[in-house]
Amino acid sequence: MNIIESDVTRATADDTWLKSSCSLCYGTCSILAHRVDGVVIKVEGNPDSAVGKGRLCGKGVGGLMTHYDPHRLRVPLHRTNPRKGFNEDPGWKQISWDEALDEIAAHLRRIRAEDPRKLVVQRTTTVTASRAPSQAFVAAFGTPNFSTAGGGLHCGNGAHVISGVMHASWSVVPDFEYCNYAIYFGASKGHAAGHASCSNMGKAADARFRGMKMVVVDPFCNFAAAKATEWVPLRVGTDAALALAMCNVMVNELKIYDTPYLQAKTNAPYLIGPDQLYIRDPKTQAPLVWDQESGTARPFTAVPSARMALRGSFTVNGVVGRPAFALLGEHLKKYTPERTEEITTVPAANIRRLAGEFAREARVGSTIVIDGVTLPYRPVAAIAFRGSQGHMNSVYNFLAVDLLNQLVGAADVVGSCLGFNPTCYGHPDTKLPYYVPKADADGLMVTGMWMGYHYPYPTNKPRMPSKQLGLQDVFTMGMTSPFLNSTDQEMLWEKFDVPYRPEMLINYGANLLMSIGNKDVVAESLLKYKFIVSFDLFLTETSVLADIVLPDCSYLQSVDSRSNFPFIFSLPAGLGEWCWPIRQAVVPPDGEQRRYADVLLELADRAGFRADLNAAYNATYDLQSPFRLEGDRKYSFDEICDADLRSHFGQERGLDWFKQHGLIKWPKKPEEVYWRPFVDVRVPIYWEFLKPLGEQIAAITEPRGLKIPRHYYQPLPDWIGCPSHACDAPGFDFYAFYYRDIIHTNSFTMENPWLDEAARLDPFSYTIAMNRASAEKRGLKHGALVWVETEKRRKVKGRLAVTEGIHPEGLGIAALAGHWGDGMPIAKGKGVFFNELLEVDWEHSSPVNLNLDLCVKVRVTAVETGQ
Amino acid sequence: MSATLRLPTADARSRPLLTAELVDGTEPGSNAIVPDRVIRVWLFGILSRFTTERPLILHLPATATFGEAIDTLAHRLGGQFAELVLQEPRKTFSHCRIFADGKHVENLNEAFERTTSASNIEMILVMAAEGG
Ligand code: SF4
Repeated sequence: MNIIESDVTRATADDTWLKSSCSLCYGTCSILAHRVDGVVIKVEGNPDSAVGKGRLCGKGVGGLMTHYDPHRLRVPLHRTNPRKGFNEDPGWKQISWDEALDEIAAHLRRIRAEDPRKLVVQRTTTVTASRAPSQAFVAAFGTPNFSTAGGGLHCGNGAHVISGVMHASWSVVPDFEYCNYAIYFGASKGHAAGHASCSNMGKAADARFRGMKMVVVDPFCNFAAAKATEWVPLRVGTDAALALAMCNVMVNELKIYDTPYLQAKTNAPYLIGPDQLYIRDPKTQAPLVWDQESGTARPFTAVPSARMALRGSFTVNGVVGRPAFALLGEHLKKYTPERTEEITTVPAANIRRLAGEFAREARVGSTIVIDGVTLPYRPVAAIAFRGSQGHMNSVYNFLAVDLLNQLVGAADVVGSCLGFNPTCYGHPDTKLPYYVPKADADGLMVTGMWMGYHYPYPTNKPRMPSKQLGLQDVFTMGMTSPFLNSTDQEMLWEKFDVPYRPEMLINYGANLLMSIGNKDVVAESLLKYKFIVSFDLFLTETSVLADIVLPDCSYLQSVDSRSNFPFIFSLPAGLGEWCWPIRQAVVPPDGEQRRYADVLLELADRAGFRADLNAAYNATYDLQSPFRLEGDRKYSFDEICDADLRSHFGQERGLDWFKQHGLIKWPKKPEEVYWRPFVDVRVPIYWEFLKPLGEQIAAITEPRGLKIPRHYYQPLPDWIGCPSHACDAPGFDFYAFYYRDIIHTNSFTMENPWLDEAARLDPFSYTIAMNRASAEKRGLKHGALVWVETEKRRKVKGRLAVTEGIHPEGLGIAALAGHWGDGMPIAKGKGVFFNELLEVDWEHSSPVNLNLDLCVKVRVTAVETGQ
Repeated sequence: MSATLRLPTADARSRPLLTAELVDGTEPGSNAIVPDRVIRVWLFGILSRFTTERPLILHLPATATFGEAIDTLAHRLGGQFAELVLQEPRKTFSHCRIFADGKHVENLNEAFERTTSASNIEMILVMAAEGG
């Protein structure tokens, strides 16, 4: 911040810097907003905060342009045309809030009385502040049908589940302060968007300056790869094969791995029987390990870890058992660098070299002293994110990458792959928030904190009939489901006896028509709703299908008591400070705009379930006595935020205190950051629970005609191709994928004129990236207008940008562009709408975690004149 | 779905409600075992559909555990309620949030405070699977 004298002394009635939080993406960096005479004239990063550390990205700096966009909605709108469709004018008519709320509440009352599950709530992932109010609202109303639109569906079903199971966190990142060798698989952490984005950018830059070697495995040499020491281009969607081949080299060729870590912190020593399951102690049911000293099989709890065998074959209770690690070693052998070269196109020699570098840099066995605490030191990290996430095999892609860390003990220790803050002992005054991972009966880690209560492990048992439209009752490892919008949703709901159908949609800020998949497919699912209400900043393509559109407040007009909590989401990992910032309103609503969280409270009052909503807030915010909300008292959202803050930080630190201070922070302890040696939990290198889960699911689905491919449910990861890898139709020779552009957030920021200008200056933001040699081979030139077409005849048009920086078979399309609606005129007609190419159905969804396949085999042809 | 149910005795069910005043009469920290226990159960969200009463009153033996309270509730409210709340006997879903006198219940095998004779249980399902 740069407050110069003239700023302060100028004779204005109002000249104030307010501490708040950005919301141009879910990173939610801490900001200082400069307000003069009621107008926000500048937004800067708050250097006092650990979240962003005073930095903002281009989107954050440009946030003002979104806030002051003249196309912002200012009044509630009601459609007058009952027909809905792409070519139907809704005939918007302005209505009062009273009219709007009465009508919505009437629908809510009817549905709640009939069957509350008929309500679906979708929210954008961009605005993290919408998470808790939405969760509380759906819990109070009584519907399980809550979803996070395309942001959730495209990004997270693999990443978050595996990060949760292996690191007790929502995501992972290298320990930038100490890491010497980081390998990224389709990730850009510290170089673009994502969790703790701006903090990580500074940390990553410092790490590279310090000499951290960064290897980026990605079909496209963009944000992270461009700054990396080495870019490793690979065939789209083959990350698991490469990671497994590296594991093979480490285990079977170099024989470098961390035996004490594997013995003590993983299920590597657990004995596996011929049925692929743990051999268990008949009395206690605890998994058995082989005690090398006594020469007997004993429960894992009864043997010092150093005595547990990792290799060998042992007869126990009449069956032959082998340690999970021995089976892993055998399993990896099929991923020879030579075979893997055929799958990935990465040369075998490079695979060996990368594996060797990673293994040796791990310095297995070394320790370091930090603040007087001796800790394991493993300065390597393998991380994955959206790139390797965007495939049907995302579970194995992630697990395979994380095995690299687990093999050398580079998990949540100094220099290693860190989860985002999985262990917190709380503020010194209140000891809150307090959470630590814990072990289940099998000794495996259960996360101490999650973004909801649908924990990644242990998985629930699949059940019928499904109560959720997304079928997560059946596919219990699924998070965000494609079946809320899929072409085959009705067939699936019938198969799984879903006893109701959706009738009402509340949409918060998501542009579902653009963010999920092909727009016709999504539109068909949306047209089935009897009533849609949408809270929006702008009239989006999706809000045009709504019955009522409500004008939302922007982040500069809103309040949120927990901008960066849970800490597993977007507080920087590594040493430093715990930091709990808030968001406060910097300017009032314009026109009749209202804050989403307040409107939800009002709707609960009008529909008669305020007591339920108060109880849901008690549960969601984990409010402690005496700050728990009582009965059906009509609290404002400010009062709820106040209760949240006092409950966590003491009576004297309520919302007013936080408005003044912006945040509270306290130092992290080494044993919180590098918690792994201090917490007695293990993680599964062998996913024993997957096989029975697959069988249980198959027992439900197969009698109903839905085959479960068992190779998705094996305990050890494999590379499994997507439908695109099986497509050999002539001419369809590119794997199209989209990537998260650094200057845009989903489809939302395309309307921002500064970001639009930056995107137009960028050679790739609005174009289609193709390898130069591949383009030449097909006679296609830089700047040519081309059709990109799938086997199913879905197609989009765009201009080519040729580059050496993309895999010869890859076709890269940025972000979520290609708006067509009039409500966002700056965005309209810019860029390429990749999602138009995506099928949304069972065939393109992972049968294990419901991940939608986001890569698609395409044909690229020049646009003929006049087309 | 089958749950092991431990029902309150008929005798306990027929007794008049114990009132909160009894709580006040109990000496804090004393090990005195109260003869009976009244549980006021507040069901929210979709769980509230299973009863028109809020709170719903349960009488349990003085030594009752949270798990026994849930089992009794499941028996009273039927299989559909049990299916929503219990993933197996004595094991609730992680998204089933139970608070006893304002404190989150982590372990169903724990007993209610021995020094009080009346308690409030709040239950709500926070089912939303988060993504992104
Ligand atoms: S990373 Fe996200 S939250 Fe941070 S400044 Fe940029 S847009 Fe705002």
